[in-house]
Amino acid sequence: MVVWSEENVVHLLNRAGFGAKPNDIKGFLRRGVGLSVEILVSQKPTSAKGPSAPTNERSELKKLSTWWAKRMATQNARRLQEKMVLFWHDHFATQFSVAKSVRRMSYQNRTFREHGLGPLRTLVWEVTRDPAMLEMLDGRQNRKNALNENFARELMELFVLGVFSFDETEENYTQTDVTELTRALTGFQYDANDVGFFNLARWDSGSKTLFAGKPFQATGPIGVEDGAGNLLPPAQNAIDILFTHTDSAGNLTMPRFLGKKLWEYFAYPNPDAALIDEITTDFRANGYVVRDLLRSLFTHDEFYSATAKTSSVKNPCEFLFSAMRALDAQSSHVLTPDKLEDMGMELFEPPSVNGWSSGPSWLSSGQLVARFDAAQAVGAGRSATDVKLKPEKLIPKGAVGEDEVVDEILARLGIAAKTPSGTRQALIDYFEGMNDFEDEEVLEKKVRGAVALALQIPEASIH
Amino acid sequence: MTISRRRFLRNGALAGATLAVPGPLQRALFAPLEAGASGVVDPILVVVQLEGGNDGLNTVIPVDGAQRTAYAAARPSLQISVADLAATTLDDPDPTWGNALALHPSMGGLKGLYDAGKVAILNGVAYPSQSLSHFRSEDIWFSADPLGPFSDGWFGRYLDDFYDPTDLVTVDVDDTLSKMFFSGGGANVLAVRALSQFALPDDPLYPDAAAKKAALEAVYAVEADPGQTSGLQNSVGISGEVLLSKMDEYDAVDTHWGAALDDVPGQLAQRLAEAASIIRHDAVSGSPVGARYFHVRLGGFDTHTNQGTLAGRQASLLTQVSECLTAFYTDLQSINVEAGENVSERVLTLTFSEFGRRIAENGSGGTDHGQASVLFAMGDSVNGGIYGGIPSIAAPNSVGNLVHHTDFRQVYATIIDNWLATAGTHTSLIPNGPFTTLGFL
Repeated sequence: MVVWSEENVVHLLNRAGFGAKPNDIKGFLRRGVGLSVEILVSQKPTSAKGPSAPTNERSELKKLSTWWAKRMATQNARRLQEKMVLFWHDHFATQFSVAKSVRRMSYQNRTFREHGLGPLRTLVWEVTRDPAMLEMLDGRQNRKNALNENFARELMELFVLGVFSFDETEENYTQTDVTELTRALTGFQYDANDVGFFNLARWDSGSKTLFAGKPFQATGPIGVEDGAGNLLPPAQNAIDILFTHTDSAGNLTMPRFLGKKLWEYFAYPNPDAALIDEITTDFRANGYVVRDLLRSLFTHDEFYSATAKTSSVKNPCEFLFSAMRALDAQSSHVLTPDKLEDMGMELFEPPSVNGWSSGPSWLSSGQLVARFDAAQAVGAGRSATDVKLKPEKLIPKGAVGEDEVVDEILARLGIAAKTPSGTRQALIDYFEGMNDFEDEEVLEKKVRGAVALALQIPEASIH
Repeated sequence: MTISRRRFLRNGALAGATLAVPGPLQRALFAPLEAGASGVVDPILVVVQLEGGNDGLNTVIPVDGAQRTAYAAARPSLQISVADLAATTLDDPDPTWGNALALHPSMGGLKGLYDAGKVAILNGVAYPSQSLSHFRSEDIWFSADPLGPFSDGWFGRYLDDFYDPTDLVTVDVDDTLSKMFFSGGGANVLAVRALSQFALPDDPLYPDAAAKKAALEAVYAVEADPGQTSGLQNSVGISGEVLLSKMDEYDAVDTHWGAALDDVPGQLAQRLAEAASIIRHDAVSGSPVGARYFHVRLGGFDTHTNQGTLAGRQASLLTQVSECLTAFYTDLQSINVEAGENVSERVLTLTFSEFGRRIAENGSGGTDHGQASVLFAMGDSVNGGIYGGIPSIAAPNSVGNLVHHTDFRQVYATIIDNWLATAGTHTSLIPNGPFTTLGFL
């Protein structure tokens, strides 16, 4: 059983969202783990979408990025929904520089928001006919007698199955499977309003065989849609057929593949198969609804283990927004997209279809320096256009020593327990014996400096 | 310089930042090396990665003979005409088939360097059981291990064996660190897309920046407490500490010295110019930063659509590659003059891509993922020429891809044994060896 403590609340909100405001913690603490997780996973779909100018002007993209950053930084009940938008953007990674349209990126962003917690089948279908993705992986070019296997390969490799089985001993598909799936996925296009559709006339209606020789082999006129806007029945539907794939021992591939990816995103690297099978039990039993998987994940004891709290590097969104939430700092987020880009996470421009490299890769030398910059901006922030921080709120009432200020900052950031005592001391030493707290101007600068420093230590980038 | 966090690291086994699971090899520890078998002292290596899978068949192209016939048949719209290849046809024939070969017409600059004997063309290179996944294939090129799952990079292993983890001898001119440098021994590699990025924030509203920098250094110098600190915290702490210690040294590198690369448009030129600036700094200034190994990357080679011929996606990329390599070569000659020594003889530049592309063009004016492709090695110490012919175009493998005749690990073995270290060293860095070296060094 999970002991529902403040530490665990902060952990949940760091992972299932973008950090915790002081006020959040009390509310979630009162609700207990079950209800807390339920509130996060059971939010109704929303089709909220940001600025959608039909242009490839970077200035318009910046507006969309700002709009989304603000949602990530401030959404309360819908914080997991926004987190999953970011996850799916990383998973179905699509680049603005390839899709060449703010509107197409905005529509894809809306699709992740609308379907990100729902049935995976629907989400994969929406992605298959998504205009930005049709550009990203050339799906629009793929038609009967003029095949382009780009999307089909990545659908299996990166989106649904993976190259290898969970234990990395078996290859999940052959080049023949790529070609056959390519044929099945012919016919998708989008119109002048950037709405995706299926053009039956461009579809290869012939018989295909997927996974020949396997127990789950499928043969027939496999496709996705029927030409009237409906999904084909499961036996004929390429998406459903991919979901039936198993390893030679009969373990379903997709739930393990996605379960592992989500576990690594939310908890720690290299989980056991047994753990992943546990968190995907409901997901497998009830038609692959993403929220079922997330509920099992966030209520699992292992999610609250010490390893799960210290083995991941915060991505730039998590790093910046969790700091701002913890410190109650405000921003219009006009400059946030630039900060995220410098830290290595340019929204709508993942480095490849494989998404961002996670973990320690976030802390390359250049990006670590960019984190130092962002930390400085938060600490020094005096304007709401950039960041507005009120340092006086970080001085505990009646404080008589600089150690109390440092402890307050570390506690607010949720890193007091894991910060080495030497590091804490170095932060205290930064105040250089200033303990009369009378020169408010100097004090303000010191508090701001200490905030920046506290965000620059390794512990602030790890969760 | 003492690296306090590392003391703990050396005493306790843990995993973190650039620390991967130790590789499968039992390795001996060698003393740092001055001269490789080539006789070059302090060799420099610049790896240029062409990301996405460069179409080798439209990079080095058969001009006549049976290979040309097969090439033209497979590529009705993507073939480059014989007439258009006149200016870039090479003096040497394909060593396997005897027919004439040409570089893509956009690579006139590289053709000039080839004519001067500065370029080795390595045809038909790949690895066994080709994966057509970009990412699996990249992992294999980075690890030099086609068999196991990725654990660490071949160059990371080299750094582990020849350097101390705190020796910062490698710069990845990129946002994130290439897996080629991942290391079980915690080798630190600078990864930064521009040296100008590499400075602590300055804030006019915030006057005690110096105090804060001192505090930051103090924070990163804190002795780790094994009972309290996770492996990840430690490895982040170590890289931060190394980084802070090097910042002032790198601040002295002049990046506005008038490199020829500055006049070449595009990201590859900008990033190679950073490498050139560091090489120059170390050659001409009295306080070298000590960086000798570089990695730069150019993306966009995944030409499933609109690959083009004389113009188009691949032509534009190959133009960049050729112009960048040519300008880089020019810059090294300028550095020779300025430094009064032959720095360029110490510099080897190698291009690679994770795979080539399908022989037959696809339905959208592009090519899908393939197998064997071509690499270029460039430098004043390179034995120029063509190494290996283009694999048989008429006899592809079962999925229509060029079958390789040269294992990519032979290229690495050549570089390790004949450039970075001494004969036989590659067997301790590349699993499943030994591999026969090639003659380009």
